[in-house]
Amino acid sequence: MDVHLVTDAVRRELRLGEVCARFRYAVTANDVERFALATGDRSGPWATPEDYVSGRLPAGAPAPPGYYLALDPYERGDLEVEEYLTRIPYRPTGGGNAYNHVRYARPIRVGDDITVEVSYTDAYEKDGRSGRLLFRVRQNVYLDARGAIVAESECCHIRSYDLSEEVADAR
Amino acid sequence: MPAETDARVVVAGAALAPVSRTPSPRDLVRFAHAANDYAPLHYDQDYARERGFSRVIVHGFLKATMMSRVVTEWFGETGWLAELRTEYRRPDLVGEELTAHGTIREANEHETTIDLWVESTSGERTATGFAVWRWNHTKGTQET
Repeated sequence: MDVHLVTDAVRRELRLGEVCARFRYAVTANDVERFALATGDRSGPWATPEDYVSGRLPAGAPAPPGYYLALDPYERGDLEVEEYLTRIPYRPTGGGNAYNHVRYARPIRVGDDITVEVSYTDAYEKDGRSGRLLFRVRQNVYLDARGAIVAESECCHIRSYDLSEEVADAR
Repeated sequence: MPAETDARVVVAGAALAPVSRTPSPRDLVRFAHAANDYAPLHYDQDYARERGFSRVIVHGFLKATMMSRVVTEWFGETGWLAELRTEYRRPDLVGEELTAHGTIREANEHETTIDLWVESTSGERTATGFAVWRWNHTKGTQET
């Protein structure tokens, strides 16, 4: 029997192509300094002389290029549109990120009030070494307080399933 | 700042200075807090074992930040990183040395594209990607 993880119900639940959630995040000096310190990034305009979070980075200072990841609602656990995963009746065997791609219109800066609009743009499946692989592609649009685009990112997440083992609750 | 950061002398094939680090469990917890990424695979030893790993694994995003550091540490404040792509090829276990590398793919007066990758000590490329560096002097594209 042909088994499919991506069903019409899954596509409907993901609302492919539509904005499915919005989150608003303040970019504080503390957050940016903590990110720069945790990534060992001490050479850019986001670096402070202290090796601790002092909160003294001035408003307008750019965040490191990787900072968009800290504002990704999916990775933060703020996004709750993947309830359908709990209804997939097979044992999950793993998962992770396949890729991230960000394009900046300008750097994210201390003092920014960023709204992130999330939409799923694709869902598909392939057979792999660890079973059937479910790919979900997400797009985040990062907007500033004036509604101007700061950045757009595309992220692809994989979850693998053992189709030979059915389970009642896949969580 | 290296002289090579001048747009006029950046040439295809040139290698940028690598960035290395050996993430410890403490580093991963610190990064989880900074990136708001609390996936248990990066701090819960038992969970990692259940998933088939001998130890917790390094955040893929941490490798992405190493790749971006190769670019920003080389080019300094001559411009800004306008694009970054990271493809995750293989997980890396905590406590193993990782090195991010970059080479110039192409350059012009407006922007420079850099191929990037993270290598484990075995020489395997566990993450690959590229970045686009946009020069500050480029008319009409300077970030505001």
